[in-house]
Amino acid sequence: MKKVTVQLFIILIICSVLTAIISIPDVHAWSWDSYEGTTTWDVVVTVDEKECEGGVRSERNTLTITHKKSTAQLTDMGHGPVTGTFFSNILTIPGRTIRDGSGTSVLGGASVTFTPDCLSFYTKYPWRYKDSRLDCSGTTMYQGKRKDAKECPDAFVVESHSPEPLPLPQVMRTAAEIKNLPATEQKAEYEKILDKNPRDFQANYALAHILKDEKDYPGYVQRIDKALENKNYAEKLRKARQDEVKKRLGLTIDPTTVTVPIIFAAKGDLDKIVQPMIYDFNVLKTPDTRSLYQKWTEYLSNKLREPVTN
Amino acid sequence: MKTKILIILGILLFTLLIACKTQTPTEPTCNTKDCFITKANNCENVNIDVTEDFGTVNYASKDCVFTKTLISTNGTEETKKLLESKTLSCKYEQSKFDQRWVNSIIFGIEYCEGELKDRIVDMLAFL
Repeated sequence: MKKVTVQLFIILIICSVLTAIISIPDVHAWSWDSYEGTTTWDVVVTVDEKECEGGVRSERNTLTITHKKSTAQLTDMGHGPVTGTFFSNILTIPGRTIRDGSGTSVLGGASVTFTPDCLSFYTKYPWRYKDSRLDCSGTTMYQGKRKDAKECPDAFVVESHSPEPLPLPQVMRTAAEIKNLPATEQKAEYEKILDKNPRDFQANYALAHILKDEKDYPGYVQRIDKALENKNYAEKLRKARQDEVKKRLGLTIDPTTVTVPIIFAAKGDLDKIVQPMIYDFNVLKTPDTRSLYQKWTEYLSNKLREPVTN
Repeated sequence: MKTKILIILGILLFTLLIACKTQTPTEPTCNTKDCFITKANNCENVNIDVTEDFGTVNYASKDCVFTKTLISTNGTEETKKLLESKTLSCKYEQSKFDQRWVNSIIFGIEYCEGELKDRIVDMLAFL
């Protein structure tokens, strides 16, 4: 009898512990599609009208967003109020056509990316304006900073434990969006992309140049090497560089090792040397000589050290 | 007799002047790259014209600054125009002259500046 009582007691304790574990609240990352309420934002609107006989102008506005979980209503920012749909931290606003002065504007759809700290957002969308005289296009960029608070509403959402929490989709920004972010944020975004695809040419190449600006030259070299492993993009980069040089120097014929002896001599230099060094880095030779030439062009066209001074 | 002495003295003076001029040139000249490298390494003022496979080049060094000038080269008219008469310069410290500047087109030029360097980098895109 006594033995049965002890066993029952142990079972009761185990059950209590398990119940307690199951009921422990879990902390999930914030996302706007779960929020209901109002937020206010300080927004810098930059309109690029260069192709429409205008320039680039910026103005500051206050924006109020009324959140109803996945639905969000934005106050008038020049073309009337709009409604969008949140999925995680991305607000999608559909494109529309509006009356605009004496003509009409077709506004492209916008994906507004909100940062996980709930303090800023960014978007850029294209538009096309048409009237009896003009038919041109441009872009509008929104950069918002939170005005009403310095943290996410209810900083952490406490939810009851679910056995298999669904992973949130990773937020990926487009290259154009990333370019407009501060360098530190750009780095984080590119690293996020490279976590998914370490051979992503654009992320490696862009990150290389950020590292160069930070004078992290070994980091720059490593990223350039990685970028150039992607042959398709490396070839596109080579063609683009050739086109740029031809245009800038006004060349009508492609220079080749046959027509320009100095190129032949440079090729000879690279082919002969066993361990080509540049800026103290050993540019390792590989069977792919094209890659070696391209690395050399890339490194030489970027100043990685200051010239020696007396 | 006096005239003879004067003539002899004149000849001696003339010979002495020639000898002095030969022994202390204002700009030492070299006929080989090795000679140029030695003098440049000591930061002596020196220059030399060399016919390379790709054209004629003037290598000069003065006050620890090396200058390479492409005097003439072969190629299409438009590339000749882009490259000829262009220079690149590289500062260095005494005893630290980089021999690659006279032995190759590209090695070592990362530390140099000038239009010739820029054009060489441009041409590398076509390798």
